[in-house]
Amino acid sequence: MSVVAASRSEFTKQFSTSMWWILAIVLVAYVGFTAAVLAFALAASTTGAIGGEGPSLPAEQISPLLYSVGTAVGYVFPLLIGTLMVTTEFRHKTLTPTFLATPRRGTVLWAKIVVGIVVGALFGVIGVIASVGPAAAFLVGYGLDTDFASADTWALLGRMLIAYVLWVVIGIGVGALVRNQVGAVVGVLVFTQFLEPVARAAAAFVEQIEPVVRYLPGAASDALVGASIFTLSAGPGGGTGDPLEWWAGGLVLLAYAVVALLLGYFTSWRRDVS
Amino acid sequence: MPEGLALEFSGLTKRFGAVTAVSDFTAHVEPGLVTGFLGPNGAGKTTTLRVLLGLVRPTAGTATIGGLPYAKLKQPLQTVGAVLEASSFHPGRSGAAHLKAYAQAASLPTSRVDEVLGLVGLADAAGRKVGGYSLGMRQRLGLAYALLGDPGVLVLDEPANGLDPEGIKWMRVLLRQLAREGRTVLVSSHLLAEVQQTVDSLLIISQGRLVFQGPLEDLADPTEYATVVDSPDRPALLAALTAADVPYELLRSGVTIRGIEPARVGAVAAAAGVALSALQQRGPALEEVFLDLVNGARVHPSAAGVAVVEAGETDAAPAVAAAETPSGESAEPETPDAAGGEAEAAASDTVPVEPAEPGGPVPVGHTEPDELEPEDEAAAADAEAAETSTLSATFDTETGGTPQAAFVSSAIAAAAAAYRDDEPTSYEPAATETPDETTDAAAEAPSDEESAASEATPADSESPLDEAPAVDVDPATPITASFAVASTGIIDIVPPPSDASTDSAAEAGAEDSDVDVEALDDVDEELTSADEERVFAMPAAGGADDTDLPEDSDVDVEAIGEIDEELSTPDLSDDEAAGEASVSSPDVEGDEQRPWGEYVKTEADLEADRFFAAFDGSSESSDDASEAPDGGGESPPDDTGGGEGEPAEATEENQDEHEGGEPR
Repeated sequence: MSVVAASRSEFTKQFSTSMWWILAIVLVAYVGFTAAVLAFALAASTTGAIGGEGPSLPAEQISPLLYSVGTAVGYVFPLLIGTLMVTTEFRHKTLTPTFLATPRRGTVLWAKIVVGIVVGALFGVIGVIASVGPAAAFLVGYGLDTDFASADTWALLGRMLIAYVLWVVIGIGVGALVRNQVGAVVGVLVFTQFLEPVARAAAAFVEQIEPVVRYLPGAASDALVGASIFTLSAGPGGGTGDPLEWWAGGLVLLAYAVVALLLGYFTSWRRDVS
Repeated sequence: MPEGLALEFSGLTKRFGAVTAVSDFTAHVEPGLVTGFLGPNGAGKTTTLRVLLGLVRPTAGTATIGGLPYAKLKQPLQTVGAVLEASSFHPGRSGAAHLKAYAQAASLPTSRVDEVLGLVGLADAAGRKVGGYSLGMRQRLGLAYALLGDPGVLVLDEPANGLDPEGIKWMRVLLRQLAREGRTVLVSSHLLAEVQQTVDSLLIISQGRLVFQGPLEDLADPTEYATVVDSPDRPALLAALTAADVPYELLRSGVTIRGIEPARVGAVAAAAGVALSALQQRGPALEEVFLDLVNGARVHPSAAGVAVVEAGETDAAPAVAAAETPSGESAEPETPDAAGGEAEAAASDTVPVEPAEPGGPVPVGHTEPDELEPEDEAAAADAEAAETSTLSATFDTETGGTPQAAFVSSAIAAAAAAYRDDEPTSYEPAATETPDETTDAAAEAPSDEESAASEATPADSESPLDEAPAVDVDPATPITASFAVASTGIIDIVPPPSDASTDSAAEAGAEDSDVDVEALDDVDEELTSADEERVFAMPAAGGADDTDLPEDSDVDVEAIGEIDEELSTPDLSDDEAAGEASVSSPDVEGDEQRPWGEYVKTEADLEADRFFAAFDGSSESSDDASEAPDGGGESPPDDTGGGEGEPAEATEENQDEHEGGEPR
């Protein structure tokens, strides 16, 4: 009951500022552009439209690879929006009225998770459309199969939505843990755009760190989705050739979310608000 | 109708690391009353309120609302409404959306949002983003949030911050109304004056401890009240009092009788057939009592177990506390003791407030039947013993004259304005206003030693009223003479019948006083503290202007500490003020955070001054005379501190100024 009321409140908060649609626009632009460029390159090289020195993929691998750009590249957006859902409250001191209206702080966090799931699904749909749209257009343009008839493709898109939702929840945990908005955003960007890609690239060459790297959140996310541009960049048959099962990847991602939430709740969320 | 619930603090303690913010705080807040929660900044008010609201976890003790801790309330927003800070909003969210989110969280109908927005006068701004709101609008939005659930308990932390005078008044009326409806209203403030008119009951906290709890009337001991009586036929009055065996003291403002009701004094006079010109009860300045409580100089039985701060610690404190501004300290790092003592001396005029300074008891009641006023400065002399003799000399010449009253009120006006200034930036202009005002008063007294005065006391050289009663003033006497006058005079502000009213200087003074009384009224609005004094009879001879004074004097008394602060540093600010005035540059006006905190005369004010001057029946020349000091007051320097290093230059300028002013 109380969680329902708090969730409605969080829902109003989430959609009464412009943050969500600004992030959505950036997500569409970023993912859409990346998907379009990759789709053009892969489709052209596979069909031999541009001179074929580069690595060319079997045609049946191209569509999942392109569709998964929405998570492989775009997962930073759900992570950010989850983080911001919490850190804005710290930043603008709105936790005071929030906790006055809902004194049970666990309830507030649950409400944020509920809304986070909704927002994650929404962003997932947007991200999937942003990656699938341009990719499918190029595939059709080059006469390749879009694989929309295949159940596997729809399963992949569904797993992408799950990944988006989990990323938002992880972001909520991170936000609750870090509190400082600038710190959290910078941390998220540095980790997702720099640290983890470097680690995964390194794992392609150093086999010893590969068992660790595969449990990094980005790698787990890719494992959950089942395809990623990063598996391509590692080279066919390269170091990350043995990813986790999709459900295992999902569990790892879920574990990250739970750990971040618990840490945030016990170390930071229950602290004095002043 | 929601019912008010009692708030209960029991042994509440909160430590932040090594810092104890609240220490064993036990208090009770009743429904149906507006309870003021007072204490200086950093006393632990906000922490206490946040503990009450479940936002901060106490180290020990409990705070309950109707017997329940906040987190256990079934419907928190419908039970307690709280305004804690003015900035708890997302700037990108509209006011209406902000309230809607919390109405949903509290399962309130969203129609409440529009209702409360209308209630606080924000209906027009509902759809605008909070980022575009003024501070006052944010305060109103905060209040709208508190009222969202129509709660029986309201907790407001410094709600007047950022509100304009109209908003403060509005807030006051609203709070009173809410309490009348039976709700519990707890409102914190660091200014007694701000809540004095609103609250029924007080909690005073200092350094995390409760130092007073009870109704406002209990703040001052009834025995500290005195009756002030005066008659045009003073000898007859004194004879009547003596005959009736009523002990009295003769002060400049009239005959002061301690511990006897005005009714009885009036009966004595009536029995003797003496016509009275004034009869009033005068209490201690609540602000002084408050400050004494806060710094430990006074202990109230309502807060048992309060640690008394050592006297050595307190003697500098009153000055600081009275000023409530860091720059108050920095302006006079060398003389905190003196300032503190003077604040005490000021208070001790009407009331034997226990002096915080270890310098000894303040002698009150030293009587000189042939002079009308001088014993007051004996109190001041406690702080500034060395000056006493010259002070007396100064006063003697002033005897019964209006100019002094004028000076006093002018100093009050400036100081009262300065009193409101918390911001260092706005403090300085106000500070310079005071010396200006002081200056003309000082000039009224000691004028025939013009050159000597202008060398020794730069302030004197500004005197536009050189034809005032002359006296030989010791050139070495600094401006402390004026502040002694100020600190004592403020309390005994009722001017004696102005028999010298044909004297043009006196008229100028009266004119001046009139001007300042208006300033006082303005300040009075702000300070909200009027009418602690009960005026039982009308001053007969004083005329319309003078009747304002007794009512205002209460306010002014609160500003005494400030006056002393200001005046005890004359050589800095006076030099500067004079220097600035000589080039007549009215520059500072826009840089204060609280524009109403200081009084700067506008054209309209001057207009009004002239209007009121007409009632004095004085000659035209008084206009000029009265405007002269004001002109000086309007051009405060923008940096008082800068005056420190340039005494020589300042003196020179003072002389210039002096010469310029003389022809008038």
